[in-house]
Amino acid sequence: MKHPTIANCLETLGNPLGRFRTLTSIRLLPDREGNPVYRINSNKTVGFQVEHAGERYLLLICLADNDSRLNEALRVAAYLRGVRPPCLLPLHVLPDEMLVFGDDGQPRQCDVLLIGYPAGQTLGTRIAKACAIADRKTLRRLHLLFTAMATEVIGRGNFVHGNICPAQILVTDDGECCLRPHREIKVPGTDSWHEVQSGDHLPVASLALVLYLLSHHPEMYARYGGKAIFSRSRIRTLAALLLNNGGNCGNAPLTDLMTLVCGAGGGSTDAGRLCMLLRAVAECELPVIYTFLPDEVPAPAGQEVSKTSPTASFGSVGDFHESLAAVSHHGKWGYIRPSGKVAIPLRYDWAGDFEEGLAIVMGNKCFGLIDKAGREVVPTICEDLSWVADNGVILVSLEGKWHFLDRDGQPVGKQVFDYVGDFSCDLAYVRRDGKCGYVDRRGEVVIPLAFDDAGSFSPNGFANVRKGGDGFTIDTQGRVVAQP
Amino acid sequence: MTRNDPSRTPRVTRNRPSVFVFLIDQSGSMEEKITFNDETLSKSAAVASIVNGLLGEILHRCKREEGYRHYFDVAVFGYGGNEVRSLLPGAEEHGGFLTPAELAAAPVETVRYFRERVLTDGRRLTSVAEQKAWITPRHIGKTPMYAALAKAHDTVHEWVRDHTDQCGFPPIVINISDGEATDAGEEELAVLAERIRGLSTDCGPVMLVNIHLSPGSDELGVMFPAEGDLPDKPYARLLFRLSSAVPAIFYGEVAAITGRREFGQSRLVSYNSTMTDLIGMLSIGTVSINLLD
Repeated sequence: MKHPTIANCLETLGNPLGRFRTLTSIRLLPDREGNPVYRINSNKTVGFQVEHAGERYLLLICLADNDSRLNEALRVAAYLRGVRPPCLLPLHVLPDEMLVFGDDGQPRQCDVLLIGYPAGQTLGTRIAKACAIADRKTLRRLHLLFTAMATEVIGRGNFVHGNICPAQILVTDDGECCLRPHREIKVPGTDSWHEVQSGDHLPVASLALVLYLLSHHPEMYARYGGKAIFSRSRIRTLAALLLNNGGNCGNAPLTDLMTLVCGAGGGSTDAGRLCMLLRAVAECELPVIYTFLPDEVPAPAGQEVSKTSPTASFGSVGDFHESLAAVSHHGKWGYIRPSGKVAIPLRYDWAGDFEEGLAIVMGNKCFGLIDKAGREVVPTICEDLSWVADNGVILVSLEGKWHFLDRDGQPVGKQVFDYVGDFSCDLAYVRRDGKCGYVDRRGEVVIPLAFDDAGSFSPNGFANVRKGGDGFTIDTQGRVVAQP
Repeated sequence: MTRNDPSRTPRVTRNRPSVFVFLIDQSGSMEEKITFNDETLSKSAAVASIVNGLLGEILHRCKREEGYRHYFDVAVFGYGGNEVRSLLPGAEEHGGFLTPAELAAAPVETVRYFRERVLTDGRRLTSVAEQKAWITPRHIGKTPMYAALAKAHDTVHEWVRDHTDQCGFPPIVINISDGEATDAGEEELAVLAERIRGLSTDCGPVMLVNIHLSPGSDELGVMFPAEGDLPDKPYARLLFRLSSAVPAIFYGEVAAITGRREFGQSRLVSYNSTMTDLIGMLSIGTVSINLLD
């Protein structure tokens, strides 16, 4: 048996006697109809609500290959047990904990993760409910609870959660604010620790700002798209607009927090200063002025303001990439700057994010590529188009054939193909007239188109190919390394 | 924005569902008794239990807080005697298919079953579990396999026509039988199978899987064989000829089951399969698919 099925897991959890190494008093928690409660994550893991030793937990089991994560999960769990962060729900990694019988009757010991799951609701749910009835008192209490938790996490700095957002914060029925363990948690002991150590700062600052705004103006929740108000791009745009138009009312800590959130100050600050800002903003009683946002945005002195409606009336606002965000209004797409000023007019049917100075757009049902000045590097005439900055190459499909272009939109090489795959190990498989081979980033054939079928190179430099009914493995030089 | 080579990037979502069609032999020979999970029962009862388990697992994978997500359409046809009929209640009104929500709501019996399990310390304990019984065992008459495959062709053809640009994974037709067709010869079956494999969506051609159940002999079975791995049996060669090649997207799963690493000439077929082999074969391309959104 490769991996257990959900039914296999339910059999064990429904008949737990003798089937757990350490969780000897575990039991499934049913819903009101008596059915087991479980959640599936993209077919990779399933989480069951259980009770053990009087406490509620989420029991996570892998449904697909995830072995590479186990050792890291064990290391993280051991570290967290040592430092005991008070605001993080307990996490236990239990190898070979659970005995499961497959459909064929064969037994297998499965690893499980046990995560604290006390009764309560997510911060997101609590905020939504409070905003719906304009309950400022509850919103203010949530803001204070969050601030206390966030300053604890940021101040200690002994782990990075990696996904601080309303869905990952639980407000228990006892009034505690806790973080749910997440697979993105980083702890000291890896080479990348110093690079990620401040990874929670911006999410915390953004969420604190949203809570501040909503605690004074709960109607903003519905006005700015409900839970979409928590999206990084939205709060960044709001912060920028408020800053630029005096919405902060001269409130210094709030100004500093908004500056941090919209990245105007480089987007980072030290932990001590951030905690001080969070506390100062939480204690502030002053409202913001934002009512101008849905209508005309007052022009800062010396700058022309587009008549296009500002962020609040855009149908969709993407994330900022390279200081430009794709926005739509009445079905047309363009780009705005963090100030809210339109940078590239809304004239496209669709617009993608900028990457290395270029973005894919769509017009007249065809694709093109523009630069940050709005110039069409590739006009909107392509059936399909791919621009992946890592490759440094533009691929366009015209009349069913794929062409290589450089970043100025000029053809590279003379060859065209029926299909071009993804680049890996600097090579992409291509197909033409029923035969497959591999090209480099200039579209030059490196491994001849001699195969009947081929796949992308794996990270370790091998690819599976077929020729004349035989399957074999080649390296990036085209040499056969394994065959039947 | 990505370029799509659908055979490389199957992505089943609610907007791009996939489809399974199961063809289950319900001819008289399926009455033969076998031992499965320490129980003696007919092959038809064992197959029904296994397929019901698979349908239940598919439902588990589709279940979310808001209900059952429409990741798949499922059809199950039984063939025996002179007929091919849908085995899913109410499916005929929907072209033979049920969505996960319709499968969950189908008015079928929930069976409570008991399994004796031997724990690692040697203790014997009994598990109690429940399973919905969409498929009930049946075994009667001859083996109208051609008619069943023709039904599968027509059913999938309609589905493909209605989902040309909305398919997240190539359709799969799985034929489970313990014997040879009695309503057509070899060439007729081969032509029909080719027509089924020729049906195509934007994410690839239909995959035809043939699973031959062991008649209870001591003869060893083969799973995902290349032509050279087949036993010297004409029917084994016919099933091989009818079946689709193993696509690259299944290489990892097939390797996990067979322990082999090369599948250049292998096909989606098994011959002389035990019920354990059947479980392994059915898991590929069904519960193993990545469900997105």
